[in-house]
Amino acid sequence: MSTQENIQKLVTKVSSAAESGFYHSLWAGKTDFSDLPTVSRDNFLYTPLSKRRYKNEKGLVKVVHDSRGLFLSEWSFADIGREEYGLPAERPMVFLTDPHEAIEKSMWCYERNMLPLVGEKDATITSYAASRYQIDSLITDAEALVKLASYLESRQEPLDSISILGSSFSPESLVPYRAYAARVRLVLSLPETGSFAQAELAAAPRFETLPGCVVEREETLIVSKETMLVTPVIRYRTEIPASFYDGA
Amino acid sequence: MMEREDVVALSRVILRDALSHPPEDPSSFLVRVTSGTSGTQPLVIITEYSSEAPASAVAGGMKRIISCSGSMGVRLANALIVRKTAEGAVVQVLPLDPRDLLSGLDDLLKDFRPQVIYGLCSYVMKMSTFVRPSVAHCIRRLTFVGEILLPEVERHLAGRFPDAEQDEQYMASETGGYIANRLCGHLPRNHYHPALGVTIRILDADEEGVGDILISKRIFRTVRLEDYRVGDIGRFVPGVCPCGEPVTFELLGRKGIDYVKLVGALLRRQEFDRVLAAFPGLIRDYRVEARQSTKRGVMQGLVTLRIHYPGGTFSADLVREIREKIERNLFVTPSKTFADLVSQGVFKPLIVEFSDGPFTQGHKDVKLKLLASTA
Repeated sequence: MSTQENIQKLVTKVSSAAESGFYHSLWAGKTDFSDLPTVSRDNFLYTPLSKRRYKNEKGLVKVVHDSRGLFLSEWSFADIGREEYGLPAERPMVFLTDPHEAIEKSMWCYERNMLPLVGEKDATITSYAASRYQIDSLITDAEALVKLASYLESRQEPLDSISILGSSFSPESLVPYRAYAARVRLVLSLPETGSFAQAELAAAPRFETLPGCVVEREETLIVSKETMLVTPVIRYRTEIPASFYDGA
Repeated sequence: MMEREDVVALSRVILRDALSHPPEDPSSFLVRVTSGTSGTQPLVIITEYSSEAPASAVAGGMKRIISCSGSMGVRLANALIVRKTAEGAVVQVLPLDPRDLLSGLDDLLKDFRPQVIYGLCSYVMKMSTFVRPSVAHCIRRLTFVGEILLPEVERHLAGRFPDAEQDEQYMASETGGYIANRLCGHLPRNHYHPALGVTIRILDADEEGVGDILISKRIFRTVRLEDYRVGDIGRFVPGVCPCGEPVTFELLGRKGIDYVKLVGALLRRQEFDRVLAAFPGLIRDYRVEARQSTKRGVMQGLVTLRIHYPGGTFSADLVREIREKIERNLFVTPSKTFADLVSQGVFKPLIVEFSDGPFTQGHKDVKLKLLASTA
């Protein structure tokens, strides 16, 4: 069954779900994926988490900061493990600017049977710890990565991988970091959607949609995921310009 | 008997062992980074989950937990503990960050409806101002770690969260975390029962039974701490607790009190020594008195530095210059100076006083002292 078909099945399930009427009220009777209106961060901002929970499992709740306010995003541990944040490693380090994201991505490591080092806020302490733990891979974001430049420079061997997470990238400023790992990926992700596309770091990166995701291109990218998440991601309109994305 | 240096050496052995023989089930282990309290470089340690707090100590059968810790490692430990709760148990954890303490958090807390708040009491005090009364009544348990619980704070939070039982956990990160708790419901503030697998001894007890706390526990695979002098003083409480637990001890604070923890920061004598060395000839000796004030539920640190300088008088400008230089250079967290925390409202500006006469010295070499809180 294709991802598109799986998402259509999810739409049918969500439209009649007893747990929440969040999508049901937005869709106003429509159940065909191609007819569905998009949702956006506004819907997440102005609808309490308790009104958009479609399942109840052990998990993590994050505070998401937006210039218009705060909202909650809940992820079951099992769903966190299904994401594609990093690559297999023996000693990964998670160092992210947003502490909620850092805890979530560390839990992703556990779900993937890896023992992570989570970086503390202070980059000097984190670099020291990375050295002691002899990390072999890094899950980070562009802002946090810059703070580790000295540490990466000082390493004798490149890391196996660096995964740079975010919703926008400046490839030209990141390209020098290719020297620090055998593989450097850019992973498009948002706190409320998880990961949905990846590209190898290059001056002009070509993104590919991750398994289980559909990325539509209008003025901005619209993301859907086939997994029944606590708050499913169905036609979620991001603010990422479609022009940024190549290969959808 | 083991001292801090022995634990540092042991942590290196454990790390080497873990790197050469990676755990088959990583979910039972946690990599921690601790800046410690001894002023040494950070310690990277790997601890085994089974020596950590059991899920019941955090969740207690409740479903929604807020974790209030500055340390990413502790937040991750809390999430791991929730992940390890029994199959079928549905528990959610929200690890709050100090940056979340913003307008709008009250709405999120109303939405989440937490039942347990776990963390540093200074942090809990700060976040409690964002908890509406209707949400406060949802809180069934407050679990404090990492700081001595002062009576004023205990009373304030009991009023703020009237339906919550209060619990404390005695932890030390270099021991792998969890040492003791007062979960049984019969113990007053700062009294504990050792956790399962932990043995407590008191070394060189004085006539009141007070002495150094020694801890024995397994921390990693077959590696054990044996009679580790953790740096705290305490005494055993005679008799069997009504809960049936035969061993109860009272924690009385750090030995020598050469550092003070308050409002989530750490004032260390070694750090004062470092900063004050920049004033040769001016500062012959000094004392630091710290206290916390609580006004309208907001905690703030008050620190007075008393400097011994015989026969000297100083202009207000010079005193201000000295104060500002100390505030700018004195680190009170691994990355923040006293001045940083003054600008955030965590501390009031440092008070600098000069003393003509020398300071008296008790039988302990003490320069830093935590005084009773003020309202």
